[in-house]
Amino acid sequence: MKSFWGKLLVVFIFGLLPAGSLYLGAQRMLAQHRSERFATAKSELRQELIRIADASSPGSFYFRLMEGMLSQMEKREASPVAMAKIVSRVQSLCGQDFAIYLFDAKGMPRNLPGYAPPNRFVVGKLWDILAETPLYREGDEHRQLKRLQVLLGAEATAGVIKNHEGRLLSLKKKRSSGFLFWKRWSQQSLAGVVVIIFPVLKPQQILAGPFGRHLNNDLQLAFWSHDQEEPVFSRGSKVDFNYLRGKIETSSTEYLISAGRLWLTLNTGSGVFLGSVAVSDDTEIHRAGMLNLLFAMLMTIFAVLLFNRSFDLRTIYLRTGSKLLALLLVAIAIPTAGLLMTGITAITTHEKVLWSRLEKDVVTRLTAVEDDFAEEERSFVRHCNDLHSLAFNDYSLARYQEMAPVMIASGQAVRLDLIALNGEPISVFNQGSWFEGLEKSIDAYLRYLVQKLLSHRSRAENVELRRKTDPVLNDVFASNDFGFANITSAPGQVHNVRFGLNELMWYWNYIDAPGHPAAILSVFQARDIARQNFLQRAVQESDSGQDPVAVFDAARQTWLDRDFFAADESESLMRAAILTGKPELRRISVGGRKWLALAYPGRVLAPYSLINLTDERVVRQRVETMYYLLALAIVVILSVALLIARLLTEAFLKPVTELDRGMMLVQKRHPEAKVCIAAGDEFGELGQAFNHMVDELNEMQLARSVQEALFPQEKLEIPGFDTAIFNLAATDLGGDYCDYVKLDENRYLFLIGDVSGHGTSAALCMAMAKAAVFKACRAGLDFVALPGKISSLLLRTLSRKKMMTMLFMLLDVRDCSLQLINAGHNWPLLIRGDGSSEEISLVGMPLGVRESKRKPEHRVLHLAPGDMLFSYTDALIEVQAPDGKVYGHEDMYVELAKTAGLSPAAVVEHMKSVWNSFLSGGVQQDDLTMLIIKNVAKEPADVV
Amino acid sequence: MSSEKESSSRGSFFSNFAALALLLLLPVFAIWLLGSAIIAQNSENLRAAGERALDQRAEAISELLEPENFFGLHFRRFYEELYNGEAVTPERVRQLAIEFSARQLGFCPAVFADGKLVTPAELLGEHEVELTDAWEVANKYSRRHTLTSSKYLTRLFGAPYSRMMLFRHEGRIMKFTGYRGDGYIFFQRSPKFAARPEEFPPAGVYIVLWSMPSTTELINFLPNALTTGVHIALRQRAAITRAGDSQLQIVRKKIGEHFLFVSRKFSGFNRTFAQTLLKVFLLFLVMIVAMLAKDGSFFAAMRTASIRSKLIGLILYAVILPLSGLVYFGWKYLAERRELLIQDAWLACQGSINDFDNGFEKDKARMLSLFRSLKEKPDMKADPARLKDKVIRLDLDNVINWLEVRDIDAEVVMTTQRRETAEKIGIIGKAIARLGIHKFLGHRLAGRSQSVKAAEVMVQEFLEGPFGGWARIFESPDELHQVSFGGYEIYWYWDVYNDPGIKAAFIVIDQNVRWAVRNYLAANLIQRVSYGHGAVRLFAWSSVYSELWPGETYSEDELMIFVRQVRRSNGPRNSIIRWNGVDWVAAGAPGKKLVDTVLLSLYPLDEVDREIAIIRSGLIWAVVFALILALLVGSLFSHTIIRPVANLMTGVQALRRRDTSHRLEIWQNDELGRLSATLNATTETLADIISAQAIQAQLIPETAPIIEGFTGDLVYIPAADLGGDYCDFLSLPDGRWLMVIGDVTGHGVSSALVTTMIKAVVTDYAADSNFSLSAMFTCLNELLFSQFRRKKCMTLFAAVINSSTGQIDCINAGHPLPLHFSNDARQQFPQLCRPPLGFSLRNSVFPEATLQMAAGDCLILYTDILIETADSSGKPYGSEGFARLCRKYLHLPPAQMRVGILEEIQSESSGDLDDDLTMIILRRNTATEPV
Repeated sequence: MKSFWGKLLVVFIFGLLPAGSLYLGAQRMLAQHRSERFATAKSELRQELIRIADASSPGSFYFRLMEGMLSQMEKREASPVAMAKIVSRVQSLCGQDFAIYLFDAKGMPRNLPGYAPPNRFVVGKLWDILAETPLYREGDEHRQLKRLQVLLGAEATAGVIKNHEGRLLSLKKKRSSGFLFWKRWSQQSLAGVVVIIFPVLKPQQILAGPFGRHLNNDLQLAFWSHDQEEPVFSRGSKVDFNYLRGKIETSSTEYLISAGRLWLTLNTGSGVFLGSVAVSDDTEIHRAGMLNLLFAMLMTIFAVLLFNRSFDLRTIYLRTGSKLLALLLVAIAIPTAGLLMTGITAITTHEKVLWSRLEKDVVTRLTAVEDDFAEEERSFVRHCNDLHSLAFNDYSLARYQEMAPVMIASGQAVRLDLIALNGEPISVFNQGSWFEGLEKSIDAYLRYLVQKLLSHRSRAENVELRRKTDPVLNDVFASNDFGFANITSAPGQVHNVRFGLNELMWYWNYIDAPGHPAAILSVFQARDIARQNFLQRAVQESDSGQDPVAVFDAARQTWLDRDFFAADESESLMRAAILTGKPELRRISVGGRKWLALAYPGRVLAPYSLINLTDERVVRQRVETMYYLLALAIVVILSVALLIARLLTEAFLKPVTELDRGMMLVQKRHPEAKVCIAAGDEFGELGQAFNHMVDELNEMQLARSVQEALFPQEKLEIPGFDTAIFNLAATDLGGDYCDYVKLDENRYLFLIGDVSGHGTSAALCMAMAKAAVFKACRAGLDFVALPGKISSLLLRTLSRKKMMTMLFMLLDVRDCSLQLINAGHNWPLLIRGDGSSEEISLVGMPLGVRESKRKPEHRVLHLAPGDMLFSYTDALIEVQAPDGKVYGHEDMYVELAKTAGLSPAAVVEHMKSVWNSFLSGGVQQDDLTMLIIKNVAKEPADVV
Repeated sequence: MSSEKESSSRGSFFSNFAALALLLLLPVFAIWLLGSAIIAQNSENLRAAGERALDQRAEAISELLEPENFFGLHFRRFYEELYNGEAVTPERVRQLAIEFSARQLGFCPAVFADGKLVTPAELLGEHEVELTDAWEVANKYSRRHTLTSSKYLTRLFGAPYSRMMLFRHEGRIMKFTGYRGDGYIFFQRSPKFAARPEEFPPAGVYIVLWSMPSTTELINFLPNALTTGVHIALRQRAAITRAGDSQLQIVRKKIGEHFLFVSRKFSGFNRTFAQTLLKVFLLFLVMIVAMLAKDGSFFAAMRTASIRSKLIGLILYAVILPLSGLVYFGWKYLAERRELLIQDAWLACQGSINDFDNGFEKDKARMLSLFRSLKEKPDMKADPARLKDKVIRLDLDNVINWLEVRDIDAEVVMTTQRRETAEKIGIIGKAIARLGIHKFLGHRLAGRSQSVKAAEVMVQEFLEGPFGGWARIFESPDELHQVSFGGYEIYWYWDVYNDPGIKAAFIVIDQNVRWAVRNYLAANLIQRVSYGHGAVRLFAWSSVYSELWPGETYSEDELMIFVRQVRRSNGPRNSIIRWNGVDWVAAGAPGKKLVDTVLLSLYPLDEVDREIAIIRSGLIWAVVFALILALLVGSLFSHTIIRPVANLMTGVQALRRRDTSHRLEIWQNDELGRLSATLNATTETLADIISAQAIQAQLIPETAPIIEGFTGDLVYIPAADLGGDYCDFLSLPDGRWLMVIGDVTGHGVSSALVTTMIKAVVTDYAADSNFSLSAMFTCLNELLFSQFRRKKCMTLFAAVINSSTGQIDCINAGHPLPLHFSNDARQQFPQLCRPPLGFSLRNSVFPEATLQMAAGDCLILYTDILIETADSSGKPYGSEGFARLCRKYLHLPPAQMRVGILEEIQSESSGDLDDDLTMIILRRNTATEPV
């Protein structure tokens, strides 16, 4: 059970865990990759939609068309043919509803070959007014008003047109809308161009026509105007678009993924754009499939490993150091990976937070600029109030006459009216043509005010209105529906009014001071001028600040005196912001540097928008610092892990290797196997124990050498006989006994014995036998009594029975006789010179069993020349091969038969090799001893 | 030895360095980093909290600085103070007026009781009459003609002023715009009349503030609680100019046309100071650690700590580093994630507001189609006048303000107009129609020009001119136009009919934008349009109708505070507000298309917190998992190291106890596994030796045999398991006793072998009937020499004791001479000095001597350990010393004597004896002594 859990744990930690975490990590990476791709696709699609929305809005489309055309024309000023070509190309782009009128340096219309736009006379007159050519006469505006209105719709007055130089002037004429564009080549020149487009293309037409050609084929697109249920333009199936738009609207999200495509809506002022691009998931699915397959394979391998019996970690040799390192790395790998992942997530979050904070900061800053525009209104009020008090409180019309033109000149007002109590103007200051066409109404209204508010004064002072106010207009002014009522009820304030296309701030106030001629003061300021004044100042002020701020004029599509920002990226960003009406934050590069740009569409300031650039390094540096910190943390953790591993090696591995070294030496029976471990922990103790152990082993070593001394040290030279002895102890000390003693010149005693068991106790027994034999021989041998003697000695000395088998052999060289007594020993073999062998089956009681008075069985052999007596201990035949097979007698006989004719030493060698090969690396269980006596005399006669 | 020392010193340098890095540098560094991060975060948090508090303060201030709120509160307090139970007297009113700074703020508190003015006249000045009039008109007991008064009051307080309006605003501030300018009216009847409105003449207050005080003036009247500790400035410019002082916190608020700057010196947590503290703390830490290190015992204790604690410490150390990083980053992540989520919630809220706002576009489209559909109605075609009923029905839903149908001659066929805006359009309407018909139906007029009155020319000119933006409208019929002029907005629709079969030729419809907005809000908000999967709640506050949609909100006040904030800032605002006892992420913005409306969008903060909780629990699980993993790895560690080592230790301890039955389980195949295997082998060897010990134990008698007339004692203590000493008592066939004591060189197994052999020979001889000591010694000498060739020698002393005579025949081969005590004195022992056995074959004759032991004589035989052992002075005892020791115990019987001697020796000599110890004490009994 324990091992099963251990196995499970190992497989879990080294198999499942890395595999699982790798799998999870890979999956996370895939998901990340997917979401990143998705995010890129989304932002790309959004930008594409913005680009399309921008390009397809008529204003932008025509403006660009104009710009492109004019720049081409400026390049090829001279040739009318080339110009005609350009014109015809533009006409092919946007149809026949396009008229261009060119004027030369004298302000006269130029004729282009093959091109004759309609209404050239009226436009020529218009040009006279606009460029103030020599043909221009004072009051032409009034005279031409009707004609212009017929041509361009009711709104088109010379004044309005004049105010829109270089801008597209949107016009409305009989249900259709159009554009007018005019521009002088330079501020003073009389030459220039007027373009009239009537009616304009609708966005859907632009999309379908000139613009649609450039669209990416993969992009599906639909466009709704706000008031329509069905898309007015679509590429792809309309049904789909309706369905998807419904889905997006009901789910309140701006995007949707359906049918492998990403759908995105963009709400703009002109309508809703719905676009889609394919986001193919194929590769991701493929990758995820591969990942799953890999994971499954890994799992299978682990399952196989886990349930395979032969898998046992214990059998794999791994150095402890490697194990330690591996475990330590596993232990810190998961938290470190967690740290890495959390760290990266945290840092990306931090980056986002920084961005959003930055965005907030910048928005606050830009809002402040916008808010400050209100101050412009206030300063206008202040100026007006000043003027008011100058004129009326101080009764100083002269000062007023001085101040008013200054206000006009400095761009603080466009028109100042001062009306006397009789309804007639005292003074009117007017900046250019802002009010052409409005005077009558203003005049009527001011007189209405005088009459309504100052009637008590006129009565008191007997002043009659010179001209009666029109009762119908009085109705208008009094009616709530027209808003005049509100203006009438709030003197001394700024009113925002829109006269046609002119947005104006209007201040009026009256004075109820008896005796004073003046009655009503009315000041107009164009919001456009006010905005421009203000923004120029704001931008100049911001120069001293940190981040550059710029202003974009959406009407003219230009930057307000800031060339630095005139990069494609900042412009497209600006357009995106204006289109969506929300602040847009993007990373752009301007002037070779990276910036975080925030485009802020002006609300109060429209059509002006603001952009703020912040050096990207502000965020990047902080994020990079955090990344560095994370990397540092990881490095520190890893180095600490390595350091700890090193320490572990020091603390654990060093003693272990030291012990290992000691063990290797011990196995080699090296006496200097002691270890030196300086640790104070268990290892130190272990080292001491080990050293102790080594001492004991050395002791055994010594004992072995002592025991070896008990075996015959030199070969006994027996004339005519050859002997061989072989002894191999199973352990350090053996229990086998083998000896020969030269009794006299002719008699030799040979002994081979085996104490039951082996090891030290056997060795002691054997030593005892040896001593007994020694004494017996010394005292003069009684061969037949010897076994009894030894046996009784053993019995006497050892109360605990130690049995010993022994074969006593007495060789007499004179007659080559060999007397044998067997005390329970294996039967020796007599191998005749002709190869035949004979077992000397001699039985007898082993020594030390009991006192036996009976004379042991005794046999005399005759060793003929070439005959060989082979005696052995049972280890030879009882040897066990690793597979459990036992050697046995039969095999021995076979082998011995082969040895006929060999010298005893060779026989020993042979048998040893046979035995070794049979053992084949197994453990020797018992001591092995062999004793061979061979008659090597040439002839038997010699012996006599 | 020297090289070993060197290597160990090198190792110790490294380990010292590592320990320094791990125990000192790294923790200090980590603490420093973490501490700085926490300090930074904390100071940022504090700063943010300070900014929030400042923001709230600024909100409260700007709330008060709004004149409407200020005076609302001010007048209410005045009212409450006035009717706090005391009698209302002119004196009190005067006092209160001073208390409430009536003169400075410029309001006139007219207090009435029983239909009469209570306020002293000088407080009201020239307004006395006006105020009395106003009060009387309001309560309908005017002394003058009501109509005159009303007209007068209308002039004074502006056209909208009416009794009804006044009552609607009872207890509240009512703004008026009269010919004298703007001001406020606060009107409330006294508490007892509030319940009985119809009773006359009532009492109450009528306060008029004739001119709006500027915000700048109001600043001086702020309650102290709000203004202490902060610097308040009102400026016209919004741009914040930071005067280089980073410790200055500034909050900007928009109040009307001014910007309120509330600034405060940030006086919280000093970052540098905290960092200095941290540095000092770290220095102390370093010092403490250095002191501990210098002490040395610290490191020693670390060195000698058990493997388990070392391992656990190291693993925890290794794991805690990344975990602490994980926790730090996780914590940071959570905080910022929350910020982002709240940001997202704000975005979603703003988005829902935008959506809702833009939804009005659709409503407009619906309105347009409704307007268009009107002219397609069969009624309209047949007889437009019959359309009226339908329109009046529609009008109940407030979808049309004004509808007019005219025929080709611009004569009215049908007209309807809502009562509230009923004003004569008359000639203008005709002019408009005429213009349209002229422009678009010129062919239907068929050359018949309409007669135009002179008055109409002007109007036509006005309309045709660009004034008021009408021109554009007249170019495009059949569209919904938004006409705005002077802050007043309407939707305007008109069309002409081309079909000659239709009688009518011109239709014009208009709708007030405010009403349209109101309809939209009522239709959509009351139906609870929900955004963000229903989590986002939307509210709208109409500033025209002072109404909050949807209406049944629990506590409007909490929302209203936020609404006022939005109104003040006049732009989108984000905040976290508490409403209905729950925190909400709130966004508010003034409607862009939905004019005069403030839109609020609430998202429950709980949702954010729930998401954060999910992430947090994920993080916690990750940490727990990592710890569990570390534990698992620790258990594997113990499998790898600790358990094998512990296993080994138990083995070693078993070995110490000579417990040879203990076998080690081999845990793995590595160095430790091999070590276990070796230990097992050793155990086996030991078992072997222990079994051999049993044999040796049989060779050497445990106790001395009982020899008649003698008392003997024998002790044999082997140094190792097997000893090299030999001693024996053997009875000879002739009744004498053979006593042998010997010492083989060395000890252990090898010596045991020799002793065994000696024993065998000696036994053999002892069995011999003609025993001879010298023969035995010669034999032994030969045996040892022949077998071991001087490798193993033996000292041997043998004696034959004749128990009856007390005669002892001795023979000695190099053994220390026994001590012979007679009459308590050491007797000279015959000098029997021969080389030990097995040393040489020459001189094989060993000296012999005979000793007569008298009764009470004591013979002590011993092996050399007893004289070689160092005594307490560190010098070996020597035979003299040993003799002295023996004499000390001589009076005791041999057994006790032996015990005494051994105890003394063992106590004197420190530690174990490193050689076998054998001692025989033989004493001849005195006659009196019992056996």
